[in-house]
Amino acid sequence: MKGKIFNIQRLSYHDGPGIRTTVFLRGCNLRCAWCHNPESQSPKPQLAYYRSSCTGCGICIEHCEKGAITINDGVIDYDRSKCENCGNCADYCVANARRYENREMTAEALVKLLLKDKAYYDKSGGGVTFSGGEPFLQKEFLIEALQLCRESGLHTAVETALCIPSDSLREAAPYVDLFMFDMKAMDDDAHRKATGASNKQILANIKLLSELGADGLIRIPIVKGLNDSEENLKATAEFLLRETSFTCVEPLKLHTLATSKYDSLGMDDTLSGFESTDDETYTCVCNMLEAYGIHVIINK
Amino acid sequence: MKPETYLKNAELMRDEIIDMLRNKPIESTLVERWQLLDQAGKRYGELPQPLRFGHGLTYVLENCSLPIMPYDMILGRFVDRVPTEEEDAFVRQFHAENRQIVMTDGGHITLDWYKIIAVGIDGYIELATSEYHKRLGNAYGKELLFYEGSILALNAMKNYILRYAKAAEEAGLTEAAANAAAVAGPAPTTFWGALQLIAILEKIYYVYAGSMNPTLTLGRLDDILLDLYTADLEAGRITEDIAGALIDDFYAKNNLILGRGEHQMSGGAPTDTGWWRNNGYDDPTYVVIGGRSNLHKKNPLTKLFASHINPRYENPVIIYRYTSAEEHDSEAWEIICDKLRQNASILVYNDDTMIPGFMSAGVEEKDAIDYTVHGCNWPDIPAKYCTIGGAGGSIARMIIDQLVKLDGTNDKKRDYATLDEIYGAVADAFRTHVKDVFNAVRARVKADEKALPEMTNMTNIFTEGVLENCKTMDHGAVKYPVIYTLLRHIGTAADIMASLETNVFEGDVSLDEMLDAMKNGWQGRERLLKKCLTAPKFGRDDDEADKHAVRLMNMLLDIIDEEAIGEAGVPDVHPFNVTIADMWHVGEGAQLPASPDGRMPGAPLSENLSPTAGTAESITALLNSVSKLPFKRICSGALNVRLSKALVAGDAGAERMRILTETYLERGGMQVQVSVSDTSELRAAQKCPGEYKDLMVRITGYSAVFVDMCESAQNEFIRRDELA
Ligand code: SF4
Ligand code: SF4
Repeated sequence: MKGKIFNIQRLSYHDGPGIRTTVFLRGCNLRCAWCHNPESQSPKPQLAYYRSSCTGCGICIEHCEKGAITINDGVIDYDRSKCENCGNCADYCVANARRYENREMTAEALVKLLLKDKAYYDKSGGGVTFSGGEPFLQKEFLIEALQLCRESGLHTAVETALCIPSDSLREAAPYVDLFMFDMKAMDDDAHRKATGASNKQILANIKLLSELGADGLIRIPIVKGLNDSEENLKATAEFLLRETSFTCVEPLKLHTLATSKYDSLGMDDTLSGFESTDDETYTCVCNMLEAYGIHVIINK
Repeated sequence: MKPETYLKNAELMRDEIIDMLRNKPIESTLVERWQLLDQAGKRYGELPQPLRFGHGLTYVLENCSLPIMPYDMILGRFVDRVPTEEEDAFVRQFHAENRQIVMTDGGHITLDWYKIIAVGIDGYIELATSEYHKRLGNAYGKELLFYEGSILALNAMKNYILRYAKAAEEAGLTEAAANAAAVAGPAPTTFWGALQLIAILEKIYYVYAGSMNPTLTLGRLDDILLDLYTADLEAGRITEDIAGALIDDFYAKNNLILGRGEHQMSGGAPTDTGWWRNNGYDDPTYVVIGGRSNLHKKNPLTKLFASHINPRYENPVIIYRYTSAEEHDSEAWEIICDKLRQNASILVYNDDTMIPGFMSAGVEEKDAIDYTVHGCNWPDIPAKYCTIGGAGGSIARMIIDQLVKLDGTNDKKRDYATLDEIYGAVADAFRTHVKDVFNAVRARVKADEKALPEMTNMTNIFTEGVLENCKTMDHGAVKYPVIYTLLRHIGTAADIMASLETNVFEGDVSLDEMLDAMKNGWQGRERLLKKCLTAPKFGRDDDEADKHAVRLMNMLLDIIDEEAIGEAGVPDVHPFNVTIADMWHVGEGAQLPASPDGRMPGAPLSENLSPTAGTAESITALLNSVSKLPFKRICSGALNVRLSKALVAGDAGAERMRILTETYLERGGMQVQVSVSDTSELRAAQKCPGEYKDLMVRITGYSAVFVDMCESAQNEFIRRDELA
């Protein structure tokens, strides 16, 4: 079967140990307000329009049958409500201002590509990371790819929100060297509000991973007002130390980097409701977690 | 001197250079050099060349100033200052009237530094004198003149060093003076003495004997100096710290010759260093360290020379020779990678491909082991080599030339039914060209068997076989008379073939359509243009494109190898295959119509070994693509990579730098040179140049201060993909 992929990033060094290739799978069941990969949320490819790259040549206009593109006073106007994401216009945009990422690959083809950088992984203690979106939404493809990676001697990491059925996790675990996941908020209401989903299944899955003896890298994307309170951090630490064998957490700083991505997809940059994490808040969170007995990994 | 005095002196020297690199006036010039050359020309201009040079150099070196700073440990400075209006007019007129007749050294060479250190200037004087006497019975002719001129020049160098030593003595620099005096004639017996001799000969070469941009390679310093260093250590004459301070002084003084500005692309802009204004302009001195050796399997000097590299200097450019052989010093290599990430002037070469590359050109292994390169990235076998011809050119152009007429009409040249036919046409044209060049060189080599020496200069004197055989290097003296065979712009060339294959011969576009669209510069053919732009590209680790790069290279290399075989059935010429293209991707591209890879008419081709700008997707993919090329048949070339600061920041970044470079080399990559600079920073520097005086970038085989480059050169640099 083929996987729907929206990006393959070679030489990534923020998604697990060493030099890695990160495979971003399409589709996500959460809608985190601060999402840095909004283009991965939809399971279907979307037309992205980068206004800053557009030369205003107008060639795309005649190739859009839906009339979604017009030109007024030399300025390109793109009406998303009329766009059906067919991708036709992107075939004519030589400035690459209209982009339509529609990559589908078999697990074999993907792993063949991943193996091209094996020498770099081996030297650096790196490997491959599956991210998203939520990679488990393409469970069968994911597990097939993980198995092939394992057979080829590649270190594997999966970055998941863990809002997935426990069985999927059980099935994948034997082929995963490292799970990377967030603990966004302990209060369920707050979690729902920020991500659109409850945290119950997520917490249950964290316990399951612990029972399975899996390696986990836990991250807290620090969102002011959502999870930087003493109360939340205390609850996080207590949960981990009482209910699981995990003791390390890497707090992450959030940046409002994705604005142009949101703009290109015609989406609101919803992070605007949140602030980027300042150094002071970051240090404060780290200190509190340490005080509650957690080993803090500083994010560089 | 007390040990701490050495360190203090080195520090003062460093401060002087850092200030100089930031603040030397752009108008600064070697006024005194031009005045002395003018006077020498007037006195000796009528004499035959050997005497003109011999007497000319004597005159210049007897009359030049001998600047000294109280912290100098290695002697050898010169006058470099802003000229008065009158002086400036004189310098301009001097060049307009082409009065540069005394000095002929063109640089771009490595001298016989092993022998210079082994026998000293006296050794050369003895050799020249004895050869002179052997020929005294002959009529007074070219041969005797040649030796007379050479002996005059050697004595001029010797006396200049003595004069400098005396001046230093008078200035109170007793030890530096004694050190210099000791190497004025005899071979150096200490590490310090050897560094002094190399440094002062380099200054003579650059400042006085060089006719223009005389970039010079100072040899494999770690290998050449190890025995003297070890002897010094054993005798307690030196410590590692003192040796380090001397290296600091030596490195720092390599920068004195530099003028601010940039020469390759600045063409007349106010920032053009112009060779007439500053003889050394921004040309590099190269210092070679690391690599396989005929003499030493372990060399602690490699690490010492590596650890004293100052990332803020433009010069010397360090050529680090990586090897997987037993000479590999992992500690030195780690230091190099750490300096690379700090954006130091280092070019990394791979012995594992370079040595076989030279051997494929008929160089014996023991000679290939001693290879060096000179600015910019030209390969040589020190003291045993000379260029006597050139062939090849832009592979991208060769292909376009088989598709359309390059006479401005861009009319279709031929019908091709298959891609193989296009390959065949390129091969046929290349073979004819190579045959012509090689035959011309063969004829010249034959004529040179009887040639008498016409000319002497420093390059000739310090090249093996010249004084011994009474022949100049380019007329039969050297072991390896070389033809540089240029194989340029492989990225664009591969992209053209990949697009023709996917779109025309395996796709739904006819060749006519493609060629028409090219002729019209893609006007009204956006869909086709987009197809061409999205066709497989070299540099993405995509075999669909990379296979063409490999096939093209192998095809051309096969032709070179076949044509190198002479009448006797064995190779009788030495083709050094190189991919060096300097900045020619801009000039060459400007002359060419659009190409099937989606390139616009007149747009630049791919730069040196890089993929076409804008195509790289990741540094690992880029390195993997490039390392597929058959480098064991190639002797040099440059791969410029521009890395983001974040990628190489901190200790983790240093480790990434090492892993990326090492893996690339292990996979068969030949060369890499790194610039660490973010596009945002470069743009900011364009806006506020005053705040970015330290921002250094690698140009072709040298470094330049970014804000001293003209705008077009800056923009061309920014066009290089930033790899994060
Ligand atoms: S084709 Fe591309 S560059 Fe031209 S107007 Fe449309 S989006 Fe802009
Ligand atoms: S993706 Fe299709 S519908 Fe949308 S703008 Fe482009 S051509 Fe029109």
